[in-house]
Amino acid sequence: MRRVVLLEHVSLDGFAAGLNGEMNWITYDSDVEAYVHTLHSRVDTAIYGRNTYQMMKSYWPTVLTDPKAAPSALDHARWLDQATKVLVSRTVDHDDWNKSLVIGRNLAQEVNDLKQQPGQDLWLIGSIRTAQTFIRLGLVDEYWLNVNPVALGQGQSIFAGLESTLKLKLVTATPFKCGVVGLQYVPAE
Amino acid sequence: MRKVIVSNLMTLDGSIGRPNGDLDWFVTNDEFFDDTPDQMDQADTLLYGRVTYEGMASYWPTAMAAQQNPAAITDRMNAIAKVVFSKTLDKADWNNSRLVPGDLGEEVRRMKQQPGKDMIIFGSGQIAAALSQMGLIDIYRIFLNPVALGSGIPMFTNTIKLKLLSSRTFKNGVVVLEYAPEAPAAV
Repeated sequence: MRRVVLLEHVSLDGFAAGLNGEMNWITYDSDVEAYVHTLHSRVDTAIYGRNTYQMMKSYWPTVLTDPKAAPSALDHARWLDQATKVLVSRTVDHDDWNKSLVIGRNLAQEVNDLKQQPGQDLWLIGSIRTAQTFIRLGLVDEYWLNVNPVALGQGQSIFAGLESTLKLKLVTATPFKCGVVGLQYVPAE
Repeated sequence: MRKVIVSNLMTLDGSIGRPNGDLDWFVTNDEFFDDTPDQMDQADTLLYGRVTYEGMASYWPTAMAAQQNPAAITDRMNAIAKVVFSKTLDKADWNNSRLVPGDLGEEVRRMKQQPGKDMIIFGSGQIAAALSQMGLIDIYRIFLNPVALGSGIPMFTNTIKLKLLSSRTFKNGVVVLEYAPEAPAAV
């Protein structure tokens, strides 16, 4: 069955963004990028919440035609162009990005249906509120948390609103020169 | 100069306790219990806030503590010098304790100048946060537990840029991360 991989850049204290959505504290150098891009070979679908979706849609297609785009950025742009883009929203019916679809009115059922379909794994990135919902509904099969060398003290957490303690099992821990530690977990049960 | 080391078990969402202080989520194993005496051998003093001190003082001298922990830890916890910072506590009876009702920052600055080994803070969220804000913490040692609570007592209450010093993994999934503040600790 296809797996949902959640990738988040987080602070040491677990925040995926500052209180006002700040992300300028995230370190994303070529080492971290190469690590993240290892997912390209095993995922064929991107899942985004509304804000992240709009951000991605307005940015990545421009990279495809940018003569100055870095090769690694181009890799991601090409991957995303071919991937199915899933927008999680309860208010939108459809979107005009190529190969896109909208889910959200019956999220658990819709995601489980996607997981049953043939294909590669599904990649949920950023999209903090959507990530919270996925976690709460038990829809995440792998957590990729890139722990940045900074504590924020407050901010937006993907673990906010948990109804019970979430227990995970560590799969790998990869420290990078820039101080980011890439942690991969699966649900403990 | 002596370093001040904050050493805590922390959840993936940055908590060192449930909202009511419960620690039932702790993930510990032999590696952790082997590590603690090693840690303590690098230090000669523990720094406490009142709440953690009272909890520890009512636990470590008991038969239950002796039963639940290796002697290497119980003995060290009871023997090592302890400083508790509190304006409300009137005495500190746990073996080798000293009560400091005065200014936290002033006393820690003074102690850092004295000869001796490092000083460790276990738990004690309020004094750890206060010292952190004063720039008096040299090392953050975090035993990152593979657990998220959703809410709890935060380890960090302000923004601090850090440098990763080391990372180790225990078999039970705890990741031991050591950081120094990017800005060197104040004197």
